[in-house]
Formats: sequence, C-alpha cells, structure tokens
Amino acid sequence: MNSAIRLVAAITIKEGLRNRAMQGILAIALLLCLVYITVIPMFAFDTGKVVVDLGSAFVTLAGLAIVIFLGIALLTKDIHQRTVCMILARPISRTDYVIGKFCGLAGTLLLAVLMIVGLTVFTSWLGMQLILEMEPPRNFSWGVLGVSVLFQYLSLLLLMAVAFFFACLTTSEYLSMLFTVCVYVIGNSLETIIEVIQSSQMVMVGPTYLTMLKVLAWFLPNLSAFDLKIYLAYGLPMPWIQVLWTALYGVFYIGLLAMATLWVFKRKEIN
Amino acid sequence: MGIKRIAWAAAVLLSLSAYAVSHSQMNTLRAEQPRETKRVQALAVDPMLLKVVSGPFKGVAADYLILKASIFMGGAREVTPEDWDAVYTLLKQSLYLDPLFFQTGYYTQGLLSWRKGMQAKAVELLKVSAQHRYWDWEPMFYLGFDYFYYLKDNDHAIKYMRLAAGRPDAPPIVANLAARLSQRSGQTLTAIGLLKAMLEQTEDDYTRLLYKKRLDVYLGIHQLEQAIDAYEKSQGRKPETLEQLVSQGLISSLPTNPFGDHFIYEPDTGKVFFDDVR
Repeated sequence: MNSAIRLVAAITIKEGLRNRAMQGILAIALLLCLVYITVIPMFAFDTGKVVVDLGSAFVTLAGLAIVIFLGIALLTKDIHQRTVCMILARPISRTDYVIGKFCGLAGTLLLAVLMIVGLTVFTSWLGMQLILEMEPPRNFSWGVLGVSVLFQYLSLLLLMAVAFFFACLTTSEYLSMLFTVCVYVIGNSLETIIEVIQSSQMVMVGPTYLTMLKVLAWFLPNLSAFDLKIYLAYGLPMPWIQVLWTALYGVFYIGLLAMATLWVFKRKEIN
Repeated sequence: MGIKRIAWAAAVLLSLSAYAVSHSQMNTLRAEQPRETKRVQALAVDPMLLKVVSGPFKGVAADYLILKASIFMGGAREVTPEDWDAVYTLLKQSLYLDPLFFQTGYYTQGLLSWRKGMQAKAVELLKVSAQHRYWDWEPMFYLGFDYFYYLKDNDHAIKYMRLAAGRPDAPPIVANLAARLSQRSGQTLTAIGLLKAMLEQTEDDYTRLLYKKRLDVYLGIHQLEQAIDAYEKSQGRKPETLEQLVSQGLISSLPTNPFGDHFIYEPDTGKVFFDDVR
C-alpha cells in the first residue's frame, strides 16, 4: 500500500470515528446489548442461540447503518463540497483516493464490528453470571465465532463496495442510499426466492422469469451466503470448503466492484 | 417570577397530568376489552414469504414469533379454538424461519399435541423439528409418544421411538420404551433387535447393564411366545398356564424374569408380559 493510500485511509478512519453518526450507532448498540439481557430469561431453551441471533442482528444493523449513513455520506460529501478537489490537487491520484477511502472506511467498519462483538460477548458473559437460564450455544467454539463474525464483516464490506460504486456513479447521497438498500434486500433474499420457485409447487412462474432471476443472481451479491450464524448458534460442523469458496467469492466480488468504481470515478468530471 | 414562566410551568403540569390520566385510562380500558379482541394474533402470511422478507434477521423473527405463541404457556387465560389456529400458525412460521430452534418443538408438544383436533398438526411440525435437529432425541421421542398416545398408531410410534433411541445422548429409557412398545404390539423380535443394537452402541457399563437386563426379559418372552405357538399348533388351543409348556416338553424350564418372580400370561390372548402394566 503506498503512502498516499495510507494517508487517505488514516484520515478517513479519524473522520469516521469522530463522526456523530458513528458515535450514535455505537451508543445504540451499547444500549441494545444491555437491553437484550432482559429478553433472554423469556426463553427456556436454546438461550445461546437467542444470544447469537440478537448479537448478530446488532452487528448487522450497526454495520448497515455505518455503510449507509457514514460510508456514502463521507464520499458524497467530499464530492459535493469539492473537498475532493483539494485532495486530488495534491500528489494523490484518483485511484489512491478511492482505494484509500475504501480502506479507511473498511477500517472504521472493522473497529465498529469488533467493538459491538466485544460488547455482545461481554454482556453475554455478564448475563451468564447473573441469569441462571442463560447458557452458551451448543458446542461453542471461539474459532467458529471468529469465522462467523469475519463473514459478517465481509458481507458488510461487500455492501460498502456496492455503496461506493453507486456513490461514484450517481454522486447523489439519497440515490446511492436507495440503490444500496435495494441491493442489500435483494442480495439477502434472491437465493431464497429462487429456491422457493424451484422447490415449491405453490408458486407457479414461467421459465423465463426463473432464468431472469438466475441471471440477476450472477450480478447481484449473494449476501445470504455470508450468514454463518447457524453453525455458531447450534454448534453444527462448519462446511469449511464451502466457507472458503464463499470467502473467495466475496473477495473477488469486492475486487471487481472496486475496479468498476475506479473506472467510473476516473472518468467523472469533478469541477 | 414572570407570567411567562408561570404559564410554562402550568402548561407542563397540565400536560403531565393529562398524560398520566390518559395513560391510566388507556390501560384500564385495554384490560376490559372483550376476549375476542385479545386473541393471539398471527399474520396469515405464508412462511415462505416471511423467510424472504426477514433476510438476515430470520433467527430474531423466529424468536419473536415463539414469544408471541408462549402467551398460552401456563394456561393463565382462556383459549378459544381460533387461538389454537393462531398458535399453530405462529409455530409453523417460526419453524420455517428456524427449523433448528428446540423451543418451537417443545411448545408444539406442550401446546398443540394435547389439543383435540390439533394432534395431526403437531405431528406435522414435530417432523420438521426432528428432521433438522439430527443430534437431538427429544423431538423424535415426542413424535413417537404422540403417535402412540394421541393418534393410536403403534407402527409409527415404534418407528419414531426407535429413531429417538438411536440418536446420540438418548437416555436408556427411550430404547426401553421403544422395545416395550414393540413387544406390546406383538413385535418381540423388533424389541430384541433394538436392544441388541443399543447394547452394541453403548459403552457405559451401567447403561449396558440396563439394556442387558431388558434384553434378557424379551429373550425370555420370545422363548415363551414360540413355545405357545408350538403348543397351539399341536393342541389346537392356547395353553392355560405357562407351566403346561414345560409339562408338554416344549421348553425345559420357565425362563426367569429379571423384573419379578415370574412372567405374566394372558390365556385369552396368548400374550406374555414381564410386569402388570398393560
């Protein structure tokens, strides 16, 4: 990584951590972590699974908020307020700027995810000391927890790459947010929709429609593939080969999207 | 103090009082609502659609639906048939979102199985739970119990009890129940086969002892049943006592019953039991 990218990334991390939106998101996550301890005693069985469900939902919600409200806002603000011109006037290329910005936001996101996971683990430990019914998930393993969190982070990173692409393409904050949310919703449900159409006798659609959906699945990210919490929640054996291919899929998708973003940004007129 | 300040204080005080009154009125009136309006509410949404919509929050959605259905645990309130339909819908939706969640299977057994007319639905849900929780013997055991007790279907009951007994960590009583059920249904050889398989799988000495004792009982019963059949073939009727089998030379002596003094024999049916529990 060259020094220009490092510089932009470091500034972005500082900017991200100072941002009020980020502080608000973390404060809400902290509050939710404390609140969820009160929900656990309502369940008699599989309380570990409920902890995983809630903890994972906090990470997803907070990560989503960071990508949508922070990632897109920081980039579009730079373009709209012409701050980007000042940066690009220095010996920093457009490529350095985009990659640096992405790495900086990825770092901010990583810090946020680690903080929320740390909080969830701490409150779960606290809960287990205080609440008799609370127990760790079946066959709990720190390794599986780490992999599960890593994949959750990877899916958020992928979504951020999508957000970056739309932010560079449209330069409109609201349009980028709208498109990113759409990709997020479709990316999480497209696989299930195709599965339902293929397996259910209740849903009757034409073969053209199904083919269209399958083609769409090649272009839009399959975010549901990164959801590994079931292995953590129920202590099921992790399908490592599948996990490895999913990681490669995620990395290459982000790489390709970053290339497309760079291509768009390099051709963009910024006055 | 200026008039403006007094007006502000009065407005705040008035608003607080109005809030307190309205809050208490609302709660009182809601508590007095007719029972029909307080029924458990389940959205008539196809579980497939719920799965699509909930995306990465499927687990949380399943937890919420279970909490909603759990209002009926404990029997603190009167329940209508419509409520049971709603509970079934909630459990079905929750199970579709997270088929591994044990609480859904447990509530299905606790809430639906004993309701007249709901047993077939309970069995339908328990099958999903038993299939997905491949390491857990309990949903399979519930299925066996429901088929035996509520649906009076011994063949299915034996099938699911045997499957439950084969699951890891299943207590020995499950295999013993499955064996007992098989024997009572005239399938003594099935009971023997099941106990032999369990004996081979088990390493714990105490559990092995329990299985061995049970196996000896069924081997004794099987020996007696074969002798009764032979007696019936030669004499054209069933023996009146088990001792007749010895006097006729069909067996050298009566097998010992590890659970009692002797085996219990029903001359009318020709059935042999090791205890008096029918």
